[in-house]
Amino acid sequence: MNANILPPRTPEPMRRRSAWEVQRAVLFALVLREMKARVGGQWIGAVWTLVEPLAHVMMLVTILGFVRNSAHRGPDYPVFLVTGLLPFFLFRHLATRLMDGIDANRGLFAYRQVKPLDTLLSRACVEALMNLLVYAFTLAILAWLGYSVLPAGPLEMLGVNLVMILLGTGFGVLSAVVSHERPRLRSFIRMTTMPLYLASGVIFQVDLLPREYLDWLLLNPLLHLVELSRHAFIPAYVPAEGVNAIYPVLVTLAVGALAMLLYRANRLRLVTTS
Amino acid sequence: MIELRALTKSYRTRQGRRYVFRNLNFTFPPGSNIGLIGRNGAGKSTLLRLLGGIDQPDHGAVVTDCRISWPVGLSGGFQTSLTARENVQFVCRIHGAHGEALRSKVRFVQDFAEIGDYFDLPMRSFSSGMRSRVAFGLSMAFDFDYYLIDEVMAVGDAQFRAKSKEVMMARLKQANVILTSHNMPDIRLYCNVVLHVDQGRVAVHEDIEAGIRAYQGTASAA
Repeated sequence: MNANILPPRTPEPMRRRSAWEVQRAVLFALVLREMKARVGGQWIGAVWTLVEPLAHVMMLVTILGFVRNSAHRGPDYPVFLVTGLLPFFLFRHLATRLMDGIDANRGLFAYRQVKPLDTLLSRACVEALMNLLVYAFTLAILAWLGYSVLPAGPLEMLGVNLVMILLGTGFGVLSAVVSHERPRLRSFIRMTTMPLYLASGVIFQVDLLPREYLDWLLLNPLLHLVELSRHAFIPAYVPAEGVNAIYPVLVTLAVGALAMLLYRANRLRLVTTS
Repeated sequence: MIELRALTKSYRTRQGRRYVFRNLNFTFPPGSNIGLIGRNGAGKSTLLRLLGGIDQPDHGAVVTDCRISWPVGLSGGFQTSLTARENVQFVCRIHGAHGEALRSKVRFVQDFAEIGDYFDLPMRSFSSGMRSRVAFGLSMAFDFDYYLIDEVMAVGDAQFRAKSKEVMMARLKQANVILTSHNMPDIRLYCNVVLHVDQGRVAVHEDIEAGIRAYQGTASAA
């Protein structure tokens, strides 16, 4: 019994790790952990993550096909839908998953290396990665069904999704910090993603709206990104007037800065239970 | 060396801000096994959290060149949908162990916990005793200069308790312990210095019995 009861000595005396080494080790470990918890949990969850956009598309195509057959909902309607849905889901999943990230990992803050922001960033990495996989999978299925889904502007498409990821992460960190002491806020934030879904022009073309409404809708940075994503896929698709790339980037920077400021101000409080 | 420099720590409560420590300067006696005693709410656990880097002081600092553990036997950090092995690997990784170092630590925890095949099952199926076995083994797998113990781990059956004590004592040959307890026999067993925490002040008692008397004096007066 005595032989194995003595704890193993570290072969070399442990060297002081630099801040960067600690940060890297923590993020790497957290990403692995999130990934295992996310994928390894229940297979039904993994399957749903994968087919959610497709199920969405199928449902909308069926319903709208019955309701009316207007000209622009031609044979390419699924492509129109998917090119808006996927970037929107990227944002929504990031924002809502990050919101619960601190609570879900609270036990880990007993290890001094782990800070709340680490859990949020690693979650953002995993979520973005998962969504990009779903993205590729959905496009592949549509291509297999015979739709043309190769983006005409691949760089633009990547750019749009990168901004989407940053915006979703910024918004997620922000709502995680703000809702930490007000957990009820979370269901409210989750509910607002529904009108946001409509206001981002995911299922219909905002061009069809009267000008005075469109001006208000253009305040929503997601609308810009959704329209730009479509334009990147379908060159013939002309984005609504007033859509540009600068505005969502500026909003992303502003949201990111605000999230960091509030995180910094609240960082000590986030570790403890309210 | 562990030193508290002008340390202030407060918490917000509904009745305003409560100060646990105000401008506290204190140097821990080097190379001793330290028992923190004091009434409930005196700030023992807060002090332990500050030492463990879990909480940060409002002002001032905890200055140290020692490696201080996380609270020994802590099982709150386990993700129950992951296996014990995956949880142990996670803690090894954040502490910078990889490759052979990681494998040897995982092997040690597995041998120590003696939970058989459960080691590779999700921890949600564990009893609390099995969880504590893994948690305690994990703490003992790392070389620290100071082990923080918040209330002594009286977990598991008699055989496991004896083994825990044995391995703890083996660790204490090269390391020290900072321990909070209301159980005086534990203090007498592990510690050679007592710190009496009372009303935001810390008093050192080199003589354990004198420290215990001071604590019991305030406890009965209160």
